[in-house]
Amino acid sequence: MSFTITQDGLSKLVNEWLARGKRVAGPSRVKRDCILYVPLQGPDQLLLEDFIRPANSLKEFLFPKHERLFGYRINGNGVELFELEPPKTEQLLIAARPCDAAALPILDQVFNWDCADEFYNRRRQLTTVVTLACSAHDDACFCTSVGLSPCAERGSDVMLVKLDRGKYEVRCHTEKGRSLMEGRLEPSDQVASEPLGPEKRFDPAEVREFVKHNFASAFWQSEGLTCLGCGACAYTCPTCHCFDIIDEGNANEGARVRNWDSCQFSMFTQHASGHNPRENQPARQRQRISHKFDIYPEKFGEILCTGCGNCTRNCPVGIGALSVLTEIGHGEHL
Amino acid sequence: MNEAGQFEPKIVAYVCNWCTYLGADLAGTTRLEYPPNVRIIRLPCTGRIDFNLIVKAFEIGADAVLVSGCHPGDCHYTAGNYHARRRWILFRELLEALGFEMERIHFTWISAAEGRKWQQVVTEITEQTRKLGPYKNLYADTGNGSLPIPEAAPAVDQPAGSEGSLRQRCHQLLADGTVKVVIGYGTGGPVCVTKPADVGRLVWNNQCSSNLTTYLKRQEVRKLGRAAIVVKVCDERALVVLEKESQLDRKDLHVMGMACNGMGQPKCATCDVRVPRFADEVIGEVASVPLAGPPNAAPRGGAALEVLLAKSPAERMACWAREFERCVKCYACRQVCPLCYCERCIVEKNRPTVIDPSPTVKGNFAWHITRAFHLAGRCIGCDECTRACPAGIDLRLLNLSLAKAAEEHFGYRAGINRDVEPLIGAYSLQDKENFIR
Amino acid sequence: MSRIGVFICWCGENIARTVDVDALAQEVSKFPGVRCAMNYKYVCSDPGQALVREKIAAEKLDAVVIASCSPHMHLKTFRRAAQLAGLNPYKVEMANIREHCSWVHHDRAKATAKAASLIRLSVEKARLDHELQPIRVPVTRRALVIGGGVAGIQAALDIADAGYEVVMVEREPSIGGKMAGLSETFPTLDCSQCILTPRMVEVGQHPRIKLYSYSEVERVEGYIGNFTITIRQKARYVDISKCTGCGDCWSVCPLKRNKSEFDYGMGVRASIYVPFPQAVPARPVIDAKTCAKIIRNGCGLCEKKCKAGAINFQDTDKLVEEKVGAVVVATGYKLYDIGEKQDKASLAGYGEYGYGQYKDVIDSLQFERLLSASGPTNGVLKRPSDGAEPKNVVFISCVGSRDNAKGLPYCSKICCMYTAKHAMLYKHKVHDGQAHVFYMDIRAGGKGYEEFVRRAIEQDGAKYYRGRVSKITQEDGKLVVRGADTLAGVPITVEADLVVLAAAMRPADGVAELAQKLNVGYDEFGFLLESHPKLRPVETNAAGVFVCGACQAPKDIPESVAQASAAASKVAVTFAADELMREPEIAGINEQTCVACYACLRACPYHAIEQAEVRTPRGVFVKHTARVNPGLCMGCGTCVAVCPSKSADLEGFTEQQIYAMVESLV
Repeated sequence: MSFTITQDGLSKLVNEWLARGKRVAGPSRVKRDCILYVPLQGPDQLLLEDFIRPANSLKEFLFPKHERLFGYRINGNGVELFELEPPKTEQLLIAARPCDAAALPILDQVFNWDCADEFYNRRRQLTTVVTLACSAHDDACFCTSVGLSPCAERGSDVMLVKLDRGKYEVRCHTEKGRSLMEGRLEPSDQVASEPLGPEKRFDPAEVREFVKHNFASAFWQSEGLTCLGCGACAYTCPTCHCFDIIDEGNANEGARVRNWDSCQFSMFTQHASGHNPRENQPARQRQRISHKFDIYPEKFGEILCTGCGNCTRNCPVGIGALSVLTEIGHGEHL
Repeated sequence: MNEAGQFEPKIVAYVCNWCTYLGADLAGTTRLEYPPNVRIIRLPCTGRIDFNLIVKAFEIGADAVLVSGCHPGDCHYTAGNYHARRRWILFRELLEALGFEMERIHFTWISAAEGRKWQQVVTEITEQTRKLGPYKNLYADTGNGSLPIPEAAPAVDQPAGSEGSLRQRCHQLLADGTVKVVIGYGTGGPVCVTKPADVGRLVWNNQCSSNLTTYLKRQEVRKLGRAAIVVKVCDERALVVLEKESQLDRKDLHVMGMACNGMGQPKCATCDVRVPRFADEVIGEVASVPLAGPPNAAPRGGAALEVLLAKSPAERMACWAREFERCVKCYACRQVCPLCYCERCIVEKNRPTVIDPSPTVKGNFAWHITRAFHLAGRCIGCDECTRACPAGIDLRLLNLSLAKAAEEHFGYRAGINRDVEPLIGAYSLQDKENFIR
Repeated sequence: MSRIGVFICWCGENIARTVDVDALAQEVSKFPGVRCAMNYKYVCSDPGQALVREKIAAEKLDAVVIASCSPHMHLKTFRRAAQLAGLNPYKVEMANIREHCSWVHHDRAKATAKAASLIRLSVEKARLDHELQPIRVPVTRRALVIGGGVAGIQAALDIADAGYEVVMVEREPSIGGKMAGLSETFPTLDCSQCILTPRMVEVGQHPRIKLYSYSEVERVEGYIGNFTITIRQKARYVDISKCTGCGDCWSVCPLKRNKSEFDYGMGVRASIYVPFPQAVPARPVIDAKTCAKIIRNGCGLCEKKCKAGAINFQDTDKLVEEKVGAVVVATGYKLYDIGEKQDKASLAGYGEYGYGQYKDVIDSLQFERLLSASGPTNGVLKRPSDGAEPKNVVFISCVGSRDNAKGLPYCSKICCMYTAKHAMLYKHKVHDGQAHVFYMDIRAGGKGYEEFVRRAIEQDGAKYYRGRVSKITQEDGKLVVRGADTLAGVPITVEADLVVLAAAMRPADGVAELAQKLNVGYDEFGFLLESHPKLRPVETNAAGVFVCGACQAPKDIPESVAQASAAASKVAVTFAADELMREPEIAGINEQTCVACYACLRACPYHAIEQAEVRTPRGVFVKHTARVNPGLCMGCGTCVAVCPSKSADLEGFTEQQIYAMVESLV
């Protein structure tokens, strides 16, 4: 006994939300070789099947790449500050991958750690997440290695699991999810089989042990050598959350804004003096792995990675976290 | 808008101190009346006027921009206006490809004696801009924009035996100490091989489309010592440019040129050479390597560029607005580019902020305009920027528009000829100026 | 926050009539960084300037904006005023609300609004003005004169007589240049050597002139006031400090049939030789290409004969350095090659005239040597082929000149005059001879010039045909010259014994390379570029480098001499002070961020940017960088525009200033 929804049912849901002026975002083919999570104009843009996952992550709908924090106006020799209106549009994130949804509770922690981030929290409250369990995976996927799976529930309000083409079993995990799906579901005898995940590739505990004790290891030197120092991995990662704060405006007015930032940029740790404590790319690569598997767990008790594989797929030189982690796992560093 | 609700255009004029500024002074001295819409920014010379200033003027809401200086031959500094002219020839082509409204960008030569010309130019530009109305389409996605997608060439196998020969040679080079590291292709991405025993990590197949010359700018790689680098003929062009720009001493480098049958990329569709010409050694049977297509089979810019340029300016701008909307400023395009080697990128400069660092529409346009124009006459068409973009932005079309301009106006192709000086930083008295009034 | 004072000038009624100066002052006083804003009837007047000075002191202003007329009118005035009040003069900006506003607009509201916006621009700029100090450049009061022809000689003597040391570099073994080889000079027909050689001797003996003959400029470093010149002294094989110039060596030299360069191949010389008897220095040189000792270790007679022991077959080129503060370039000219072979692809020769093929077709400088009393024929006119006295001589002018098809569209200026002189001198030597002149136009502008040409025609009976010669052939020992008389409209054939071609003047060999060393521009023909064709005719765009004589353009002796004196006086002006003051509004490079792509270096019109290295205080190499030479930079800012990382910036128009200005227009 289960409850199901068809693709038409989902389309109807999307249409209703859009009609009420709300936002719906989900995977969409923006051009031939590019599938991204984007705000949808209509249900026909929603892509449900025949791809592994979007090249970006869900985080940009809660923690956008650019956000104005407060505004300022210059009056003569003084400056006047003013508050900006917080977000107020409800949004539905549909057909999200479980590895994206699982990142949201992780982000919740970091945006509510020393202070509660008003903008993030408002968006989070306004957001309903409908995930679609993965029916396929590729060489970059490694959710199973970090304790997740193709149908991991974490972060989902509702999870869809494919039954047949165009038909999905619906599993409501939260109250928000249940009220979203109320009246839209049909009972069915079919029960979806648990989709197969990728093979386990490494053990996070081993990785943590390794990074704890091998800060100065030559391993990092060779691993980071071919990294070109772009932010493609961090910006498409569902869990990376670093940002930079600047004032941006013209001679009369402007705003304090925050933009995504990446620990892979050489400027990220550059001091005003010119000194850079992470003076080369291997050091920055080490930082990324250490943060995800040691520093973050130390502080928040869980790793900062959901195994989505975006870093690997988006890396222009084919590095990504996975290759490093597998090498650690295989003891190739020794 | 004025009190009567009539639109008053805002016009920014960048003028040189010695000719046009004095021409405007003369207009004053002779009391030649003209509309008060122009704001003059005095600079020493047109040579000082950077394309970023033109972009900035539009960013702050200018409805038109005027750039004016001394007539050819009259430059107070001998040649500043010639340098400026050459840059404008190229920059205009980029703006065209981006869909700027070109009737809002004016270039003139106005001498110190031409007060009347100043009056006429300002009057006409003001009236023309008034008719055009406010520049609403700047960076606007007015709908229906979809960037044409270039067709890739069919994938072809690489010459048999090349991979084995490559490994063998690299083993030799590493073993006899000729080089300390080989920068080559591996399975899944570039590899730096430092031990003869590891040459088995090197591969040569039709997945080797990336341009490894970008590693020559990496301090981490440079520190390893003298390098051998595996290049295709298209990558090799970057070496020529780097050498011309003093970024490379060929003595410090052993270039392993690979005869290439094409990598099945769009760039391969317009490739007209297959065998590296400046390499220290070439691997692969030269004679047995056919061209995938006949030379110059496609227009140099490629069919996609032609399709883009055939669109209306508003459509072109909409295309790009839609593309740049997705840009997250991860700078993968910059980092993979072998020719983006500045240690501090202009986008990281904040006194002044030339380019807004935020990934907003404005900041993204400013970034992509700057990135493309900094490659004017330099881009060698490896398309790495496009390949690296996680948001699927087709940056190659901007590069191609400038490459096409360089070839059409100056017969110049970057990285083809080791004896030719870089395009920017030089000028010719014959550079065209039919767009300059 | 800045403390900027804004002073709005009424300019009497000129501004105040159209611009509401009270309302303007009120609005401007609210601009960010403005401490006070006021208006005054004439800010440029003494009381106006006093007001500015008072306010600078009273309000502790850190920058001043004068909203009045064009900065080209009064910026210097107000900079001085600020300086008197203790404010750095470069902290003064002007807003041009007269020429650019009140004089060109009539609508009071609009003009006032525009004036406010113009002032805002200047306030933004003033806020970011740096305190600058004029650049002081010490001056080495010595001059280098390159070229020892008549122009170089004149320049050197004038500079030396003004009390400054001169270093003269001459490529040939002797100074004297082209003029030393001329027979007589137009329009006075005074003997060329008679007037020149005393000047040459003067150079040779002048206590303040150091002469490097048989030497070339190898390298030029530095800038105005501070050049270091490396001079290559070519191996002469004769130690001129020991040599007495007795002449034993060249009398004993068995190889006497070498073509004489000084005689343009009309005469011969030994392998050890002085080019001509009056040479300065009157010391021989060994021609390494023909000397038997040097080629195959034979002969050596001169060495044995030389009592002074001055011969040194082991001699090599030597490089010496000289420090100078100014350079005069007087490298002169050469003649166009005439024959098929040309040194530049853009030039075509005159194969149809048979030059080089027929011995009796010669160029005008060769003819000068045949005419010269000290020439190979001792002034007796003998044609080269058989030594016979030519009875019919054809002179052809504009050979190369004014001929686009041959690649030289310009007029060589002196050929009309010397061709008339040639016709005249010929007649004076061969009384029964006939001179025929083919010409395009006769250009005889100059004191006594037209009269001179008339004399050649009327008194000396030279036949002038307006037309060109199409072909010269040799038939039965005669040169058959076929041309046209376009005035008569008939073809003409002249049977000649000798043909003299007035070949075009071209800059001397190697001048382009020299110009590159000096950072002086040159035109497509290789003539050096003056700064301004009318107002700065002897200056170049390389500060401290001056030009004179035929290296700048074709010109005759009086013009060359006049220009040489002009260049000398410019040198004297440069040397008048101990230090040169230069405007500090020049470019600079942020060496931390420069990646040494040298786009700036390639683009700089003044070659003011050089490749440099950043080193730690202990001398460890850090990186390459571009660096601006403040002595050469003129402040155009072309480097800033081409610098991709914006590591270049320009004082007075900094990136920050310009962007602040544009952004204030939002």
